[in-house]
Amino acid sequence: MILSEYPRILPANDSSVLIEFGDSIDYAINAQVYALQTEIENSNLVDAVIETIPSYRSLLVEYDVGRLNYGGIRDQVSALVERTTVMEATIPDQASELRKIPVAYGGELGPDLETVAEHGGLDIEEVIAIHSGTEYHVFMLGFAPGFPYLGGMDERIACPRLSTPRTRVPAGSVGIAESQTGVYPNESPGGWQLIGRTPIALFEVDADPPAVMLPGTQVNFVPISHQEYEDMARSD
Amino acid sequence: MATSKLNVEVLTAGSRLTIQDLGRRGSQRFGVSVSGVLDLQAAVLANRLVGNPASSAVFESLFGGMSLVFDTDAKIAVTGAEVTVDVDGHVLPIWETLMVPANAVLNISVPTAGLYVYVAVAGGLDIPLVLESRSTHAASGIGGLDGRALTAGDILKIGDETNGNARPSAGTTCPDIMVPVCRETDQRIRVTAGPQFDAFDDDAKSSFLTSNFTISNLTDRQGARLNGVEIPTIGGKHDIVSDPAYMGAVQVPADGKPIILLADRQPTGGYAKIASVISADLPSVVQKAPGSDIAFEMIEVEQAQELAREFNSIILDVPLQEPLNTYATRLDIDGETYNIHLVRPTNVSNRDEIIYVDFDEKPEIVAVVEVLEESSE
Repeated sequence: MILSEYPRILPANDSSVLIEFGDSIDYAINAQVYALQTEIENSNLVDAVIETIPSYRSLLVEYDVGRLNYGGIRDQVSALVERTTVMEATIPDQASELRKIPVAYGGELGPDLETVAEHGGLDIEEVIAIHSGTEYHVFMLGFAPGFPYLGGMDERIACPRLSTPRTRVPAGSVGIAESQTGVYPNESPGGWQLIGRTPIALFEVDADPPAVMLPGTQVNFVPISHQEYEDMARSD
Repeated sequence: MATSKLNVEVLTAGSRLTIQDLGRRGSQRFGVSVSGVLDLQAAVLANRLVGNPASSAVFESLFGGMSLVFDTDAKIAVTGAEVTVDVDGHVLPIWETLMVPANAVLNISVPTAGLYVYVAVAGGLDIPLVLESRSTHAASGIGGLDGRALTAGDILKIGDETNGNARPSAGTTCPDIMVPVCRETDQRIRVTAGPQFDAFDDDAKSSFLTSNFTISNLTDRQGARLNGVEIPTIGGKHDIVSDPAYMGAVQVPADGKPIILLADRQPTGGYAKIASVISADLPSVVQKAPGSDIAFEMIEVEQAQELAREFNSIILDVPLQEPLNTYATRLDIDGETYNIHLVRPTNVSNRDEIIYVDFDEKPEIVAVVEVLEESSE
C-alpha cells in the first residue's frame, strides 16, 4: 500500500508545529488548512496554543512549551487532522457568504486597464466583464496587513507586471500580475497593472475582524461607476 | 514637557528607537506581523527589575546613543547590549533597578558589545493598544507612537502597570545566571532542522552546518542576513509554495545567503527553511552586530524544548537579587528629621562609587551620592 505523503506533521521549531496538507495551490488543500484551524480553536488544545498561522497549504501552530512538548502536540493535532480529513467532503464552505467588493474600473482609477486589454486582445468592457464575473478564493492574507492572495483569475486577462514598478500605488487599487489578481489595502510601492480601485477600506485596525477579505473565503468584484466611487469614498 | 506629570521625553533617539512589547498575537492570519521585542531575555528582565508585568511596553534602541528625561522621579532599568548609562554625569550600572530623579537626563552610550538596548520604566509606556499590542511595526505603520519609530521631542505617558508585587528597590540586580553569557562570539548557535531541511541535498546541509558566516550590515528587525558560503538551493529552486514564517526560521533565498527571520518578519514566506534557531539562543543571535561571526550546530527538537523551558524559568522564575548592605540612619535637614535607608548595590565592581539614598518619607526618591571615603566596616 502506498501512503500519501500528506497530511504531514513536523516540528517547525522548538515551539511550533507545522501541518502540511500538500505542496500546491489548490482549493481542496486550502480548505483543509482552515478546517483544521477551526478544529484547533474549538478544541481544548486552544489554551496551550499561542497562535495559528494559515498559508496556501499548511498551518503553523505555535504553542507554549511550558504546557506541551512536541510529542504531545503532535498526537493531539494528529487526532484533529484525522477528523478534518474524514470530514473532508463536508468541510463547511466558509465562502457561503460571498463578499462583494465594489470596483470602479479604468480611467485614472485603473490606468493600466487598456494595457491589460491590449495584451489579451480584448476590449476593456470584456476585461471588466471577465474580472468581475469570477469568484475568487482568498487562499491567505500576507505580505502586508489585509493583502489577499486570490485564486481563480481567468487566464484571458493575465498580464505581466510593469517593467518599472510605481513608487506609490494608492490604497484600494485593484491589480493584475501574471495570472494573479489582488488589491492593495494600503498605499505602497508596487508593480502590478492597475485596472481599478475600490472605495472601501480593506484593512482597519479598529475593525473586528480587521480585514474585509477573510482567509478561506470567497470574494467577487462588482463594477461601479466613477461617480459611485466618489460618493462611496466620501461617505466612508 | 506636557503639564500633567508622569511623562518621559525622548531627547535623543539614536539610530532607531521604537516601543515594543511581547508582540502582536492572533493577527498574523490577517497579514499583520508579530513585531515585539527582539531580545526577549533583556526585555523581560528589564520589566522585572522595575516590577512590571513581562508584557509591559519598553523602549528598544538599536545601538544606543539615546537620552531620555522624566518629569517625575522614575524607577527604570537598562538591559541588553553593553552600554554605559549615566544620569546627569553619574555613571550607573545596567541590569539593575535604578532611580532617575525628575528632570535629570538619562544618557545611554553606543554599545561596546551587542546591538539592542532596552529601557523599562516602572508602570510601562502608556500608549494605545492596537490589535492587542503596543509593539511598533514601522513597515506597516501599526502600533507604537503613530506607527513609527520615535524621534527627539516625542513625549510618552508612563502607565501604572504592575506585576502585583512590591516594586524591587533601587540596587536590585539580576543574578549572574540571568545576565547573558551569550555575547561570547565563539559559541555556536543551536538550531533544529527546519521544515524543508530534508529537501536540501547533503552538500547544502553540510555547508550550512560547518561554515562560518558573518552578520551582514543589511540586518534589521525583519531578519539577520548572513554573508559567507552560498548554500545550494533545493534542486536549483529556492522557492516553495508560501508557508507560514516564524521567529528564528533560517531561510535560503535564490542567492544562497541565509536569512534568519526576526520579529518584524512577514507572516508567510516562499523561501525554503533549512533550520530554526532554538528559542534559548535567539537573544544571542539578535544581539550580534553586523560583522560578527556566526556558526551553527544542530540539535534535536526535544533537547531544544528542554533548553527553552530552562531559559523561560531563568528569565521568569529565578528571584532577583535584593540589594545588600542596607542600613538605616537619620539625617537632619533644615530642622526636619528624615529616616534614611542607604542602599549598597550587591555587585560592587565599577559601582562602588554609587550609593542610593532612600528617604522613607518619599521612598521612591533616590539620589545618587558619590562616596568620598570607604568605610572600614
